[in-house]
Amino acid sequence: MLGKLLKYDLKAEYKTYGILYIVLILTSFLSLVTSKILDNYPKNIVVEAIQKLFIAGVSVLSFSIFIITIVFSISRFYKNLLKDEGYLMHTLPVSTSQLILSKYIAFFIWSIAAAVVVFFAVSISAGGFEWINIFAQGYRKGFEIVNHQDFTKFNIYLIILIVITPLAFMSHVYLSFAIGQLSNKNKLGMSVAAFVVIYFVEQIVSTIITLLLPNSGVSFEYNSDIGPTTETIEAFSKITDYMLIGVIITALVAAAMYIVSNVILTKKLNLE
Amino acid sequence: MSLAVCKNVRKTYGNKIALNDVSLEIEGGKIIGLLGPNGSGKTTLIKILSGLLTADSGDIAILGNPIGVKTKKVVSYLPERTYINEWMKVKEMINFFADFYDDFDVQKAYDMLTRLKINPNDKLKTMSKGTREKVQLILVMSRNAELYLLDEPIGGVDPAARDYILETILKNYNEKASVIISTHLISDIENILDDIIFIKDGNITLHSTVDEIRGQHGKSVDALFREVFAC
Repeated sequence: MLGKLLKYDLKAEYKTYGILYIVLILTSFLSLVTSKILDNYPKNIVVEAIQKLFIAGVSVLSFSIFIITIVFSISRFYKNLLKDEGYLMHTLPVSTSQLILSKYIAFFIWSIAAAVVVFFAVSISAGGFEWINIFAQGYRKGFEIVNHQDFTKFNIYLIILIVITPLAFMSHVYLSFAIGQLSNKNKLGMSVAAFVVIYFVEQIVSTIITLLLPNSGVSFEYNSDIGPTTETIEAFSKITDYMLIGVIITALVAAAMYIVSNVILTKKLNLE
Repeated sequence: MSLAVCKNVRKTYGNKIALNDVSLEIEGGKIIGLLGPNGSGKTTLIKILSGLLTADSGDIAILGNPIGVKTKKVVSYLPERTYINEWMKVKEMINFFADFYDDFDVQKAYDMLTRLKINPNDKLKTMSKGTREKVQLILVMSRNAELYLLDEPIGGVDPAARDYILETILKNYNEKASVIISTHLISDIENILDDIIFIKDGNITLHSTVDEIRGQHGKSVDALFREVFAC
């Protein structure tokens, strides 16, 4: 049943996302074309202005596409499960956990799709994939101060965090809606209030955890002649460990929020 | 075994009592009118049976199962509002129902669409409210469910369509199934009812067969309703 739910969740929005992706890819092509024209007419101010406009367009659209994915996914959850369509969805012979999981997976798929489209848009705009090498070299250079082993761990944790942080954010939003729908008067207002309260609780807990960690303050020293100092390597190693703690806490909090949302929407569904 | 059982079901909205220790047994093979004025608790009871609301206390079972995935497999629910995905075409909505409900009869749905001259390729978004309600009713009645919960199924449609809807209900439920119809348009549905339930301020005030009412009170259900619920 989860597969069927997911099918309809993806079908509901693929046209809208498709248009967005096409607009972004077209803008990146136009950016490339104007770059080529500028190569032939390097002093043409009009072409240069248009080229800058398209590059700005690619940048803004690339950023916006992720924001739009989040906004659409939130809207889809609310409208499909807690407004009129919820009358259909919650009377289907599927569990509440499947209804919620389908929304998570759809959001994840659209986020990956957005990342892939942005990757190709940037590559088209840059006239090839050379920018990846340049970016990778710059990134690696920035981490010359640390040893290789920690650099690898750091990158793994970073990738995991990039993946789970948006999912954790959606858990936060879904839990807020689950709490908000309990209200008989103003469900949306209550959802916003729940979001703010959960945010403050998260901030307080994370501050306490940070304070509990030993030697939270770290400093780096780097001399290009002698390489990283022992203290710097240790400090980076500590930061890498903290990132792992961050990964674990983020995952646990997200999972807890999903479980609570599921319990509320199963035991206390209130579609008035 | 009774088809549906409610024992001491209570539901409140803040200070307002929507259902006050309601106890009820629904047998199979009946068309039951759930009758009461606005705000009497009809919709709340139907929503609790369909799983859209949870009771504050009490026990509810359908075919012996508490409200959940198992009961949703055998309950066909028509809400008082438009709940279909408006971005879909009618035929896509039929596929949606066929995907999720094992008891959904696709052919029956297409037959009813043809009879009502509704094009399966039309988008639900472009349809009038009345036509969308007809599509919803077709979807709900194309299931071979055990219990049909119809909340105000004739409230928003013209009188000609009303007759067709009532005919549709009569024709399309199997003999073991029961249909609960919530409405305050009693005279329109009185002829098809087997049983009636009067509900007032969250309390069941009468649960009887239509024949008993006519025999004991010597009046129609509509006349009795007007007497009991006189303002």
